[in-house]
Amino acid sequence: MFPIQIRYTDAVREVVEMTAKATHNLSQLRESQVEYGTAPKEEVYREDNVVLYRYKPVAQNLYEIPLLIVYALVNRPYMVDLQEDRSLVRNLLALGMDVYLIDWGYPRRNDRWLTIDDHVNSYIANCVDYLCEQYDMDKVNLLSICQGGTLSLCYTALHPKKVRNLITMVTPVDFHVPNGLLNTWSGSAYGPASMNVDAMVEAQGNIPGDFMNFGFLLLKPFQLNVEKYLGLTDILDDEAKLINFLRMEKWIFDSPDQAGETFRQFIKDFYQANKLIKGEFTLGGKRVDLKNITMPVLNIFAEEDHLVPPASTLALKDYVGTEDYSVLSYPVGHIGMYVSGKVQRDLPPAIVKWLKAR
Amino acid sequence: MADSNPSEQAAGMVYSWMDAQRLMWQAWMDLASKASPKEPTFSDMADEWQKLTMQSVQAWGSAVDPIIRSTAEQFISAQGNALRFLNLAARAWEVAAPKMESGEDWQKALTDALDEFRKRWVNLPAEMAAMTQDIESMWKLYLDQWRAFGQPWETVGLRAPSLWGRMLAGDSAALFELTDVYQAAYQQTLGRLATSPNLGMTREFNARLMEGFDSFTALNVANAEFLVVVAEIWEAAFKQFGEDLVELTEEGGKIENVRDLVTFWTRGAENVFLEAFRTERYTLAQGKLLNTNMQYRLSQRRIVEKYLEAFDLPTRAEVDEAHRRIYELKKEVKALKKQMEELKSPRAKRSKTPQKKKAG
Repeated sequence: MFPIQIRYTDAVREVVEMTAKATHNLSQLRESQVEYGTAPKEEVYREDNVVLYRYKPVAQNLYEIPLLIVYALVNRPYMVDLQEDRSLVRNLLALGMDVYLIDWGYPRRNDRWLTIDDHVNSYIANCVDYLCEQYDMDKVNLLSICQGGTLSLCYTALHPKKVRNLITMVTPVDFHVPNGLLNTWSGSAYGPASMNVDAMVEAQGNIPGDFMNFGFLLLKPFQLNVEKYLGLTDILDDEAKLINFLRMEKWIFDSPDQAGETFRQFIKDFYQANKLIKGEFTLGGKRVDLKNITMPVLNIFAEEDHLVPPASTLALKDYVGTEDYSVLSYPVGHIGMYVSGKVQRDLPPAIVKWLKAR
Repeated sequence: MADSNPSEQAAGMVYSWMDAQRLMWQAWMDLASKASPKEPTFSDMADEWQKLTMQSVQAWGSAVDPIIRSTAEQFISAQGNALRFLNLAARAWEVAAPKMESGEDWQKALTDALDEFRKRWVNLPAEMAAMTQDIESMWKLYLDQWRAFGQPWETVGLRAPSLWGRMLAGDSAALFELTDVYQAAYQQTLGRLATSPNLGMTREFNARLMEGFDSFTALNVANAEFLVVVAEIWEAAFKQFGEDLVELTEEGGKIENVRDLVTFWTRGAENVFLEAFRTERYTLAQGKLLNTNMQYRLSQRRIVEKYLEAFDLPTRAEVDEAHRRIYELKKEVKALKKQMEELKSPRAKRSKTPQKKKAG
């Protein structure tokens, strides 16, 4: 018996009815309903395009050491506060943390010349100095995410006296691990033949956010471009779920352009040359030596991460100088770390418990 | 569907599907004929349906959040792809069903049918690659890119190759003809508006135009090569699909709606694509396409800059240089300000870190 038991007329009817329903239900929604990043916050420091926010504390007894979140450059940071019931920030606030976040903004054409040195030794450094000044302290706690983690590792290695505890989440460290498709396309195996980043930056200046998006979507071509949208049919009648879906869509396609020189250096020095773990990466004339990271480190990874393979994150253990190194993992993908209900239930308390013990 | 012998069922399936197709075509004939005078194919109808539904989404207006509109468009696109895929599966089955009727090896027939599709797809990029050998056609295509800059320059581009050819063969009159053609184009465009000196036949500009043509050709070759690689991946994905269908048949499983069919396809195809994406062949083909695209953009910009210079307009390179200078100055100012702050009020050196708590 032929296994495909579908009559054409039924198939067309199914598709047409679903399309009509989807377009009708979607057309009833308005922009004001698709809110994100709603945890109250205020701007406390600004430098060029970069803004440091403080989230409004909610706990009575605030933990005395501020927690600075350093997000990646390639997406918008409100992923950590996407919606009320899926917010790492809100959960940390509820547990008494004093939470700050660096918002990198949207690079413009005049930001084309910003380098990794600017991001690490200027923006991150100045935000940390600002917090140290405000709290009359020498050190802060860092919670760094994905590429933000790589930048934070560089910062911490260069300024170890400014960091009390370091948390890295889904952070790429070894860019030459096998089976990393993003690594391969960025030139980890074949160098400029797979991505001539010099030509890209010269031709485009800043790298368009759409280009980055296209690459990310191609990593799962059918799941992310076809199946995901067909899955809408399951939630069309549930407005709350539909809005959650749209919120995620908004974040996915809200990709900032990448400052040209930063992108060039990140691709060449990290993806192609893997200089970080080789100890060859330099910033501001100084070598970034991960052995200088001697404070406690909590390394968190997603077991099903297709963007940053777990092996890439776990490599950190072999290169840092700390004796207090911990690992935490969850059976989710890269984005699941922020949107999985189970992770958001377990992860924030684990982070707070780890921090308070140090 | 009632349980019966496979060949009866298969025949019934095929006939009912073909009947359904005929009914659909009769109902949609008016609509499709407006889009295309020839007899509509299923692809035409799917395209028409998709266009109409997209138009209805686009008519929502500005009250709807762009992300809502974009999601609806993605949904429609996904549905359209699902329909097209269903059509492909049906066509493959049309080939296999008669074999099943006659008791022949229908699985092999199915695989062979998919092979036919593969050959068609692989040949298309190969035809495109062959076209890149046809210089005249490539020039025409290249100059179509520059149509916005004026028809007169097309004359230069169209005539230049043959004039260069004659020159190289020793015909000195061709040089004068080329100069005349160039001068005429200049006078009709830049010469009328600019007070800049007559550029004449500048070697530099011509070199940029030729360089642009080289990079345009390289891009098209890379594109054709990339499509060949992608077509082969599609072939592998369909082969996997066929094998999965055979396995499903042996297990007695069935697929009863479009959504399940797409999920079934995705399960196999995603793995095939991801494995192929990891290969050196695919990575280098993609890299070549990306890199030649960037080189083409650079060569386009170099030509545009020549025009901008003639009109005294700032070029991209000049703007970037200005931005770089501003960036460097800002850094210097920041560093100086920081030094001044340090001199005014140095931070106290005493430790301010709260007492460390014991772990656990």
